[in-house]
Amino acid sequence: MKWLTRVLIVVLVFLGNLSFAEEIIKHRETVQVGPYQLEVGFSQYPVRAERSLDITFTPVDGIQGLSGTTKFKLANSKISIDQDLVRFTKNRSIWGYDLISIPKKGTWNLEFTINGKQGKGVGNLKLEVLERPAGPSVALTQPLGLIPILAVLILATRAWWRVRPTRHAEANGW
Amino acid sequence: MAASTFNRTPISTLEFPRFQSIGAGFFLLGVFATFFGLGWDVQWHSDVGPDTFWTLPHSILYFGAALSGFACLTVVLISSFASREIRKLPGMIPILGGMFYAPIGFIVGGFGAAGFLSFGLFDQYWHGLFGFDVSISSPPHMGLIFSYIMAVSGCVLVFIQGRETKTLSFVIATALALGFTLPFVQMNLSEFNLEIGLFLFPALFLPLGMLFVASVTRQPWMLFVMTLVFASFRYLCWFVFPIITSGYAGFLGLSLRDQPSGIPTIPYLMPMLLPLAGLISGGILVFAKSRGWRVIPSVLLAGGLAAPFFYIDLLLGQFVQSFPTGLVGVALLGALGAWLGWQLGVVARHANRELEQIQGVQS
Repeated sequence: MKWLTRVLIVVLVFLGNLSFAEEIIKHRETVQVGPYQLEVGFSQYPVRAERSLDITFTPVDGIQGLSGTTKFKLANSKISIDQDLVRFTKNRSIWGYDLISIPKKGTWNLEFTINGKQGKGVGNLKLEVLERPAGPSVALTQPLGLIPILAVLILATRAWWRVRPTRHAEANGW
Repeated sequence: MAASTFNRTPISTLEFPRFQSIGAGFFLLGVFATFFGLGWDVQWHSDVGPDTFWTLPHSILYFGAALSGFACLTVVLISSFASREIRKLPGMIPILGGMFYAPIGFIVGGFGAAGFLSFGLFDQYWHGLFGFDVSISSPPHMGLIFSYIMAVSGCVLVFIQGRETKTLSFVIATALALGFTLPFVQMNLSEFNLEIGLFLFPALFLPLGMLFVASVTRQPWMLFVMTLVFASFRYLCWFVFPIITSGYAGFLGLSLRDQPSGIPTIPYLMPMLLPLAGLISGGILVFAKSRGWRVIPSVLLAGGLAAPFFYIDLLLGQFVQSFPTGLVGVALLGALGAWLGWQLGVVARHANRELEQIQGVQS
């Protein structure tokens, strides 16, 4: 059992040392949200549609005593993503969204609303979102994922055809 | 001709050679590990979030797939090359023109596990292009989910050999197959804005699984046992996922999201009153048999009456409140699922013609 214990210790130490540190913020923008100054950070820049990234929101004086919401709206469309500003899972002293993606390319308006002791503030940031990364299209690759279930269905259909259970005596017997 | 050994049959009638028995045990353990890891991974993303390939949930789910695949491959290799006598054992079927021999369940399961690991690699490639996932319905994820369904279907078939079954293992594998397929397919459909799947799938697939068990084993109470196993997986995940998620997050120096769902997602989609439905369905079958009722109407009744009980709890209860007449449709779907499950049970018992001859069953 000693070797098993050693393997388990190595695995746990390895898994315990995984790095989930805040991704390097590659680009920062400053937005005036009423009386509050907000720094918006992007872990991927330029931002591409369908490519996941972290977005952080850091008020200059910290998030203490503040609450807020965001509204990401694509120009000339009805697409709008509304969320509360929540603490970033990788750094609890700031706000942030981890692993989100912007669904479509185009000009997005990021509207911020912050409430705090100095009252309510609203600010906006224009964000150009580029085409999705070059790669296989979802429409072409989605059918690949269906192959295993098609195989199961073909196998079941073939077996059904061989047995023809509705005509089989056992289907009507206990 | 009706088989009339319904109650006199011992619980398990199938004896495996030792290598198959060990292989089947590891295979079942592997599919359970993958089910557990995938369910925990969904919880991790929902409540904590950060992702790398080497999280503990990922490690468990891929360990499970590797274990399943290794177990299947080993059984196939031993069946094919160990000795001529093994090739002649009941249930062995030739593959690739007789190059390999193995029981069907290990073949299907092996392909399922290999598919799972291959789509895992595809998922890594996808992460490189699009970053770590924000949705469960990406093409590689679809492949992972459907490969697992293939693997767990193989695991179910491993414990059926014509009219003989290793009944308790078969029941556990079927409960796992349902416990995985139902929530993951529902989650996928809802990402395609097909929330209707939330309402249709339990009514169709749970009676299908329940009556499949009754049909394969010819022991109606095994249907109830399967629902109890399903419920035990459900409660295990319900209580364990939140604890290990917050514990693992703390271990890594992370904390839960400000707005976690507060609900273990996968077990939430596994109806908790399934054993009640199982009790009703099993009871109907036993009563119908004792009274000599016709089989198919009894099967339809068993599915139709059981299906509405899936909708009483939690989320699904809202459906009943807002759309009570929908229960009629639910009952009809339940009857259809039950009929399909019963017929598929007959298919599973009689699809291998050589076994038919060995076991002396007339087709």
